[in-house]
Amino acid sequence: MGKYIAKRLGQAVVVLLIVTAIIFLLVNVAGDPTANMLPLDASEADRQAMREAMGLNRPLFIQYMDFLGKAIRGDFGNSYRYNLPAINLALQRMPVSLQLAGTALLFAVLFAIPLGILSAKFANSPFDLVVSSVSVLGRAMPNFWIGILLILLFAVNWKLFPVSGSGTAKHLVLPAMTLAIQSASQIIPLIRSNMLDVMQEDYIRTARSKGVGEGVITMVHAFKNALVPVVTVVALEIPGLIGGALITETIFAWPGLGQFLIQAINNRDMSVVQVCIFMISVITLFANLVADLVYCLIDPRIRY
Amino acid sequence: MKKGKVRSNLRMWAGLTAAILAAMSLYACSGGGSAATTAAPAATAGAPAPEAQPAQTQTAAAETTAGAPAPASTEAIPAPAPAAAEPKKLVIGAASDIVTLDPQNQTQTNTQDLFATIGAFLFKRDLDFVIQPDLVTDYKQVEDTVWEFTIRKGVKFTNGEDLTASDVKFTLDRESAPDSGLAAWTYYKCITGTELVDDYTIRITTDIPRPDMLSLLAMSQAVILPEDFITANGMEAYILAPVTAGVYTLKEWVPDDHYTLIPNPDYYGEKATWDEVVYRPIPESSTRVSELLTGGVDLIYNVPVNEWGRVSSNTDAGGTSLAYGETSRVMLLIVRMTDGQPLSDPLLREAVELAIDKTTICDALLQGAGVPTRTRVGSSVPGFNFDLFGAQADLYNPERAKELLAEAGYAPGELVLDMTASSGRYLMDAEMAQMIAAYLQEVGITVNLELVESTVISTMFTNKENKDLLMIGLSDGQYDGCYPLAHYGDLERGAGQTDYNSPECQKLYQEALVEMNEDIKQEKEREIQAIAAEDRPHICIAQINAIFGVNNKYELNPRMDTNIVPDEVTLK
Amino acid sequence: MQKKPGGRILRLLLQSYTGCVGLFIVTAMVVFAVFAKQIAPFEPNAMNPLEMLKPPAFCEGGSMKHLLGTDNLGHDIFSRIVYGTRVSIIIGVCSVLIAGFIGTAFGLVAGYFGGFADAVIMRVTDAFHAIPRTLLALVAVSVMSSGVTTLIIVIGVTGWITYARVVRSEVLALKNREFVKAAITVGTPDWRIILDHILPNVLSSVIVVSTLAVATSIIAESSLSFLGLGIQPPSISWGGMLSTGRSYIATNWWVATMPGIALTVTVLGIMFLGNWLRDVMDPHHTGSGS
Repeated sequence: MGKYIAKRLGQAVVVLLIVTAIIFLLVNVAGDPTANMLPLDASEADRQAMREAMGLNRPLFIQYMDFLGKAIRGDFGNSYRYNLPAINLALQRMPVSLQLAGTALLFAVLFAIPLGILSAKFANSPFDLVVSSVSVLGRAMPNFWIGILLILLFAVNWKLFPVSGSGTAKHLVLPAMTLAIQSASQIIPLIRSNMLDVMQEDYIRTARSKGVGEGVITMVHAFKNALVPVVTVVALEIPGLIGGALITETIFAWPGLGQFLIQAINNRDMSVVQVCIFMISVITLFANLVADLVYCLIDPRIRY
Repeated sequence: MKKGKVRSNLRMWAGLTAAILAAMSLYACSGGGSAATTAAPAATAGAPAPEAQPAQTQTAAAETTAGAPAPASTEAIPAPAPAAAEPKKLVIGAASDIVTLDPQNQTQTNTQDLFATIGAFLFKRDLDFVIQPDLVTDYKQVEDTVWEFTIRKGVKFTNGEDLTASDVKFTLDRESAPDSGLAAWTYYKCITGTELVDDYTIRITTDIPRPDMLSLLAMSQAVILPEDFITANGMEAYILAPVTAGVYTLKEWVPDDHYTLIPNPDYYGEKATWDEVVYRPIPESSTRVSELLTGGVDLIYNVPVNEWGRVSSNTDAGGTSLAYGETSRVMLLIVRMTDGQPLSDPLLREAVELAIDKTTICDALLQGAGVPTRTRVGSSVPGFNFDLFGAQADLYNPERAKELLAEAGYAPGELVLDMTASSGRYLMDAEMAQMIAAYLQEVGITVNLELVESTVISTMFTNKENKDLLMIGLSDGQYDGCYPLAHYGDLERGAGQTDYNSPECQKLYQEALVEMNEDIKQEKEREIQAIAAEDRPHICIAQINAIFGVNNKYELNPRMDTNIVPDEVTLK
Repeated sequence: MQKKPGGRILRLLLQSYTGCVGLFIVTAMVVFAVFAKQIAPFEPNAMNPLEMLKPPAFCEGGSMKHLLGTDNLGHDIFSRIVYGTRVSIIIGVCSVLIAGFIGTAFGLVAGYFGGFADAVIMRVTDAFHAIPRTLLALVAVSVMSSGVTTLIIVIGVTGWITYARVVRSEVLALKNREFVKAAITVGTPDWRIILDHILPNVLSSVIVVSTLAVATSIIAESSLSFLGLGIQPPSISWGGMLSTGRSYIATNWWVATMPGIALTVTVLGIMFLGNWLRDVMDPHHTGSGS
């Protein structure tokens, strides 16, 4: 196990290196950041002076080595826009983003598990059909659409929750719901099909033939085993929730990493874009690692 | 892989429970947890004065925003109505957050808004946009290029230090230094020297005579910085917690969530109206409007045209209405009139302008939030030419446009123009561009319209990659007639973009630039506008208004720079 | 294969209710795209300032002239939806072709040769997997100028990892099959083995992955459009329509709802068809032990 973890960590480092290269290349062919820093009417000579002052006229490779060297020390440069170290700004947004993602994941799991079990239990019934269709709908609907509708219904019409912003638990409900609807839509069919598979297993049949109650079979025997692969999927949803919350955070004015990143992209604030993507990648890799470990903890047949 | 056996049930349940618990604890202890994490950046940023840093914590966020949203149970929405004993609080919903707390390294409206409120200036603009002395008690022009300002004694920064002429010198020196790398440098590079006469008197020398000196000093980038504080602690410390001397002071800034202003107890002028002013950036316009409607905020910037009905018909939260503000922003087409390009032919440029129904654009599309214009100068800027504004600026005449096209030797459909416009940068910009393209098509000009994202348009503009027509909204950062006219008067400005070259304009511009007599200066500025309106390096469409949404408890008279100055908002 | 494979597939299709629905929707979409000019009652960019924001025919104030109403510039929404199908299909299909090509190629190489090539490709796959796709696409689109071609490339290039992984695992299994082993023993060149023996056997999985990927691509386009980085007018896309319409949801709901429904129905259709295809081509997948 220890050896396995070490190997995975080693791989993660290599992957992170590739990630930095992708990020750097992507970002550095981007537009000229001075375009958005000076007023529109500024003259070309002013711009050139600005570019020189910022070291943007050096060769790309030098800029990359410079970037990598500093990145290892946790220095991703200053945000052009805020004039502060980019990594600190991004770290500042992390807790709020994790809070939203965590709640959304909780909602998603709470929705998905009972619905998934029930639709497997009553497979091919009208209930199953409704749940399946709704979960396909959830995946097909763009989430800005869901978000705006939730605001209009729950905040403007019924005044149950605040429209936007952050701070209290109430503020968390609507954006988390928006994200959860999509996540749950991914998880429900998975639980359903796993349950169906497990229900066919010999030991379930044996249990059934021994006269064990249906409820006990569903809950104790089938569900536990059906959950194993779900753990992986749930873990994989986490980075998607953090990074994928771009749109949701914009709609709900949620001060997280997603909105921060969108603005950075719009302002060509490269340092921030780089550090945000980097951090999200780290989280993803970490979540994958944890998922694998949990997986092999709860399913002892998998050995490394 | 799916043939799981019942062996490791316990472990699996433990894992699942742990996962759920982890999620719940994230949710529950968001306050404490994030406070710890947010404290970290301050330390690593090398801020030597952590106690001065705005409290960027979640718990603080909870306190300030908790009161605003409507609880479900009560039928009346408790907008922050200032009852006698209750603190008077104003919540403003902005379209975007402030960008930085370095006042000299930004050109963004919301940031300017903030510094105009928390900062002390040599001069300020009043509600009617007239420049008034603020810190300055006395000033004179020693020579054409030398100004002398005497400032008020006894003014203190929020850290208790005295504001003296040496702070003014420090401020202007920082942004006029050629290697400053600051966004404001482009405005202040004309300052070639500063010199202290005594503790409260400063002399400023400029490269050429600058009649617009006072307007430069009234810009938000000229907010006076505390020299001693910055020399001792570095600019980073200031950016984390600005030390200012204005009517309000910044209590905290939680980026992308809110920032809060509280009165500055030591302010030298009239006391602040509000006990607390909260700005909340809400980028999505429908969300912003929804917040106004439910009483979550009292005032919002930038109400899109289609939401006007919702705002003016709303009766929740005490009712809401719209407030219109004039701006200096003019939507115009930048014409590439380079030799060899189709639009180098003045007949064709005229045909383009005559083909566009500016009135319909203003009335039907902008619903009255725009006025047809033929000049790039805003209607409230000194030196503005009134003959080029309003209904008379709409030259719509499609028949004549067709004739002009024929005169220039083009059969219908033969003239092909590439047009670029932004989408989502200005009020109804994408829609306006599509309407303009349709009008041009109607008179027989084929238009290849390309709509691009907001930042792309500014890149195209600055890199001079404009094609035949580029639609953009230009405003006047300085509110001086010469500023917007530089394009016509300074050959270098237009080179590679419009390639407009009018010796007549250049002569008038050079004269106006150094003309100390305000009337003569403005006369020359008006002349330049009249010439440019005929030559059409820019085909101006409309001057657009700023539209605010206001809760009916409050009264707002919008200013021309689209800033909301808290103390100009009053309770009804 | 059986004598009449077409007959078998048809029979299987008729057995599946959702498969039929899916096929019907997808066919309708293709018909819309091909015959947009004949079907659409108006030129999609024809502006009519007099008929801005007219509600759909079945609502009060609507007329049969504009079946699904008009938008903020007086464009006929139905016509635009019909034309928008083109962009959706082009982006969906082309980006999936790119993703499928890159992914399959990498998957084949990694799975067949193993060793160092496998390690490198898998780490690159991991790297791409570690960056959420929307993010990658977002940054990429913001770097290049937005347009149909850019979107196709970006959505395609960011979508190949699923293919690489699926194909690689299939190849690993195939390598141990008798016919592949036999071919290796006879000394058949690697590329022949890959093309003749392995590729045909992974194609069914590739097709299954592709149908679902088409749906994802269409959604990706709409998300990018929402963020202002998608297809820009005067080109018409559902995502763009949704995005401009979103500020009208409270006041003129149909502007965004109609393209929203079109998008949802299409994605549903493709997903149904994809699930059905999976059942037909890959009977073990459902794994119901039978």
